[in-house]
Amino acid sequence: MSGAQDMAPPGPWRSAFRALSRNRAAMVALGVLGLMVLLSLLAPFYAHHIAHTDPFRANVAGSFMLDGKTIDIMQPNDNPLHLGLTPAGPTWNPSAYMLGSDSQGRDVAARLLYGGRISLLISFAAAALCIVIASVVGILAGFFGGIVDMVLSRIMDIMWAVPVYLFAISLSIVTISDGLHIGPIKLEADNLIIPIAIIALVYMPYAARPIRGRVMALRNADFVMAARSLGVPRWRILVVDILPNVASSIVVLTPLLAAFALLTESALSFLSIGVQAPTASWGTIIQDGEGLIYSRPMVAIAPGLAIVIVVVALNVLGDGLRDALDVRETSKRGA
Amino acid sequence: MTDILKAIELRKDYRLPRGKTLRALDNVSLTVRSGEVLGLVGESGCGKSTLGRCLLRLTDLTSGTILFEDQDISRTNERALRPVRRQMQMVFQDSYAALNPKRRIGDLLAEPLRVHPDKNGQKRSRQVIEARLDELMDLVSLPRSALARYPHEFSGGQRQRINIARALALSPRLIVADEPVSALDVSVQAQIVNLFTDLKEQLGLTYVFIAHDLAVVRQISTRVAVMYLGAIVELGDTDTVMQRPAHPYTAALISAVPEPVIGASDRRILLHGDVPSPVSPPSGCRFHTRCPKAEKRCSEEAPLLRSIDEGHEVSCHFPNL
Repeated sequence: MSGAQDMAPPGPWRSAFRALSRNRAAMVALGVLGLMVLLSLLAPFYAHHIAHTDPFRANVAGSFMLDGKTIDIMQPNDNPLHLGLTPAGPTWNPSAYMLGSDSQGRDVAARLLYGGRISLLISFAAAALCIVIASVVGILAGFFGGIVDMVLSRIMDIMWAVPVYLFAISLSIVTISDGLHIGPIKLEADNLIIPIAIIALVYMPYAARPIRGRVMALRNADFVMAARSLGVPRWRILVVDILPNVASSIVVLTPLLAAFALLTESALSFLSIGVQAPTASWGTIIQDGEGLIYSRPMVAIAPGLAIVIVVVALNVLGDGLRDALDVRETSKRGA
Repeated sequence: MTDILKAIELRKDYRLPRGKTLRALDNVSLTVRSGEVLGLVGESGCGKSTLGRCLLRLTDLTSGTILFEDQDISRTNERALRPVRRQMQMVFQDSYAALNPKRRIGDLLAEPLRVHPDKNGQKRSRQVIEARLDELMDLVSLPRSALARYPHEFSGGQRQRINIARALALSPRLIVADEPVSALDVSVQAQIVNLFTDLKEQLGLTYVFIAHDLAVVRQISTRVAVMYLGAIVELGDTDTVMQRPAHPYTAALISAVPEPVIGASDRRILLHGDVPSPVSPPSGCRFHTRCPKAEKRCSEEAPLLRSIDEGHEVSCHFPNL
């Protein structure tokens, strides 16, 4: 028997992993994501040991040293009347205001890294929470059908009827004034769980619907019929026959949800109804840069570029996962 | 010969939108005798697969009674049905769809052994299960190394052997095979039909063998039931039905089997039109719209299944005798 064991073919998950690791685009995307996470984690190190700055303290009157010269953070405006002040532009030197300063004299590069921590945390956490809720809802609705499906599907229809951003904005505005107080749960307005929960909730139907459809198709698959005729109990059919076959759909949806969550988080924060000051996220930094868009565009461009890079990487990774797990193949053959 | 399964006036309706109903089974009564092979034939859509699934309680009946070894199982809930499920198993047409693509063959075959207790009501140990898996592979002539592989690595014929092995795992008495060979190459079909025959001899099984291919049915079954639009139109010993079909529909079906004889096609009975929709079946005899012998009475009065000879039943006003 040991000979047969050696020849045993790899399981579906192992072969999917192999296929993914051979997909160059997906591997690059994974590398980019890893790099973004790593840079974000290094934010305090960069701020304290390289840029020597506190990115959360206004420093309008301060100055910094560059090539032996002292430069004021706030410089007179270069418009003809020299009215008002303009923050320092990018120095492209990591040790001092590499990407320039924002209107409160804070180092944009350091804030970008700190903002990355929050933006990535919220988007990954929201995607994780969303996929968990959506899986539970989709699997319950798809597997039990009937009244369970009716109730859950109608709730999703109602949520669907409201445009995602309108829904997210409405919920955010309600919770932003005094946080969320439901029974024993008391969340302050600046608690990160609030935007995470809102984003997870608004995208839930978009993930739950395909999962429900997949489960419904699987429920009528011959191999489920075969399991029933073998007398396998219903819950066991759900766990051993249905779950492993929807798992691939769930895995494929997750990076796409993270991309949507990142965009939504940035939008809410840009509108000042997501992450609250003094916490920074890429969305709040773009908002900081809005007023400086003509004089110091880098303040808005840098976080915008970071968002684009992460969203593209997540989508490429999602495509790679879909190809590796071959989600379509099983549904085609199952029909 | 004792009766292993008795179906009495089975009816299965599917509700369609706008208040319509599709009657897939209309008062089907049937007896399966212990040790026989009952062939179930008919065109696609005639309800033979639905009947097969209803007999095993995989689809709920609208009305009717099913007795398995004199025990009424037509209303039993899934939990109480579990011990009965050990005795009756199904083999499906699509050998790939019937096997979970994410699980190894050994895992798939062990599933029934893990779920059901053994004769003493004990949970089977791993050693017992592994020994049984080896036995099963020998029964269906597959190498034991196949247990470590996944369904997609096998050919259609091999996969059907795996499906048969799984159906045999709990040593059932009755197997309902739903077109088990119609998706296979002709050369492989013969092997699988022979496997069914050998297993029946070896293990004393009873089959309900669903097919649309009369040649296959003639080869394996001892009795034949012919279905048309959700009802049985003729029932009898294979030889009798094949050589002296009493129902015009059976006669037409048999004449459609290609024969390697010159001039055979001249004797073919051609039916006109399509099978009517089971949503609005014709009045009277359901076959009268296509029957070459139909008369006025046929469109008014539905014929009942009646005995015309020892063990030969037909539902026709004007049977060929």
